[in-house]
Amino acid sequence: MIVLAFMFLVPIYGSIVTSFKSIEEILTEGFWSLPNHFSFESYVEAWQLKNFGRYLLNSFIITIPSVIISILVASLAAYPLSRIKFKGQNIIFFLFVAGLFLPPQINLLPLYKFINMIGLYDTYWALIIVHVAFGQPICVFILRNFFINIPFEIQEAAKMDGCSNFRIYSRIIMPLAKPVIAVLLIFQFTWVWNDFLWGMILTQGENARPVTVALFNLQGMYVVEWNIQTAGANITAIPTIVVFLLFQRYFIKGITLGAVKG
Amino acid sequence: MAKVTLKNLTKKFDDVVAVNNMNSIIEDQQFVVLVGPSGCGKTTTLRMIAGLEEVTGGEIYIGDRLVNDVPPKDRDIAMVFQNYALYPHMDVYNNMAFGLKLRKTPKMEIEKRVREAARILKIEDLLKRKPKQLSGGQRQRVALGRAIVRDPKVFLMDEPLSNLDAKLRVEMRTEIAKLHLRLNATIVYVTHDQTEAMTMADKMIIMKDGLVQQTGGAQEVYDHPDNMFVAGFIGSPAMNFLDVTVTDRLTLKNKQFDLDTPDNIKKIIKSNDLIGKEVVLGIRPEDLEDSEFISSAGEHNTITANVEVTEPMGAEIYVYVDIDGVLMTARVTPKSKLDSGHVAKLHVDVDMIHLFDKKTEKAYI
Repeated sequence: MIVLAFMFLVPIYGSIVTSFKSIEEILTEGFWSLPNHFSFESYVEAWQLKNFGRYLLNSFIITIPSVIISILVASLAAYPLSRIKFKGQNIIFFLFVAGLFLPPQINLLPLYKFINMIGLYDTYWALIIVHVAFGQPICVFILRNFFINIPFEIQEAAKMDGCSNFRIYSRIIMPLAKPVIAVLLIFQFTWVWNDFLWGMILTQGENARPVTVALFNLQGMYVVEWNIQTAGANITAIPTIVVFLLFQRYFIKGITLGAVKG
Repeated sequence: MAKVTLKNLTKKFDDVVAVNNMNSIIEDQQFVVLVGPSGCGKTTTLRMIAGLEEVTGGEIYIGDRLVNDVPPKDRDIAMVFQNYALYPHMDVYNNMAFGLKLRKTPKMEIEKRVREAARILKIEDLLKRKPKQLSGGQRQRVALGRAIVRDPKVFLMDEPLSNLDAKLRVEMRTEIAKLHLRLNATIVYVTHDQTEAMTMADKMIIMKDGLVQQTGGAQEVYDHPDNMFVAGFIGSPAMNFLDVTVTDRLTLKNKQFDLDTPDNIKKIIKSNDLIGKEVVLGIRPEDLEDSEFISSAGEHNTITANVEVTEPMGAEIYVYVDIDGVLMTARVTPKSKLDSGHVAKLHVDVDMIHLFDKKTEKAYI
């Protein structure tokens, strides 16, 4: 456990200390030493010269709708899959879940061609659509399994109270699923935010390129500016940490939810 | 309020017939209890009345309206579930108000009705709490409250007390009975507990394997069961059954006893031509008494048998005796000194015995 924790923490330490050092200091003192004097210059440089702000904004514009839409769409699929009996239910669920086991790289070329064909190349929508689609298996899987454990009597009571199917979904099931939705929010946010592959494939230039890809391009042409690289990486990591902190109360609750039912 | 009419009601799940051609009328303001062992179709019947289960055949009327194809929300009924089925994310007030809100009832009216229901059920100080902060009994009160505020034509209750502990169950039983009087409501109540059924019902509908076995008031069903199932199911401890032969002296004979019969049984024996035939004799435990305490008894109409176990209940003693390999229960006076290992002489109150056909299990009348 300690060894594992160490292996996780060392790069984070390196990345943080390096980002506060100047390039000269890195070259003389090396990567791991504490900075002689703290400087935010690399952050400023990353932000201003490399236009990091723009990429960060791109990432938000891609991530936020992707996360919301993917959970919303998945919940609309998970609800009938778990709460309304119909023929072929299990087959449809199986198809959704099967998506979990498909490596996204398989779709690389066809999707690239397809996005090009429908004229969305190098737009936010290209990435949003792809992320929503790839988010479905895990979101449907988790939501459906949560929904199915909500007692059916609650749904029936709501029906007798006068709820339509959509009302049961919006007024009963979704509010009850808050913890699991928080979990998915964190997962999906992290997943989409950290995506590199699709951002790389489906965008070029500043238009819609997410920050993770921009980070890769921070590699200077002639020298590797470690300080700027790490500063950029740290900026990139902040939103996921903030999201986690915001929803972690639910996250912990969601994870232990099956164990103790109140 | 309204009456509920079930005509030739049938429900099939694939090949299994859950409810078979049921005909019943639940009168306006009547408290009707559907009772039977699990799997007898009582809950399915209730769910069909509620509209939660589709009808395979037959008709359901609420008032004069055929409701087979009417969705649950438009049937003007309210249901109380066994596990309460409260909305966990809403407080007590909103749990009760939810149905009214969906029906676009004016806010003032909702407030008035919820407060009134809370007052009746003594949950006024719980209105701001979430269901998980309530005890089982309180939750059930909220569930009842949710039904009351709707002021429905018919209340449906699906084993509402079976998740409560024994003491609370008895309390809530009285509570619901009082509620029935107060609201003048038509109530259809499902339970597997015959005590609950007997104590609460205006009318019991006793079911088994999807078939109605008997319908009637508690005492009527207890005194005149139509068949062996009803006789054994209603009453606790259950009725004792023994195989006997009818002698040509019109007595009921078995290896261990020879019982006289009263005039009404003699009549039955003659009219059904039972002399020389084997029939099933049914004796309720309270119709067996330690003969020591029956002054007129002597050896007449007594059964002699070995006592297996005794269970002192305070007001009475249950004595279990072995008669020809059948364990029989007697409810004797607490003064009795009978104990396991003794030979008991039990006097039979022959005026109270029942006779059943051995094959069809039907009672002779």
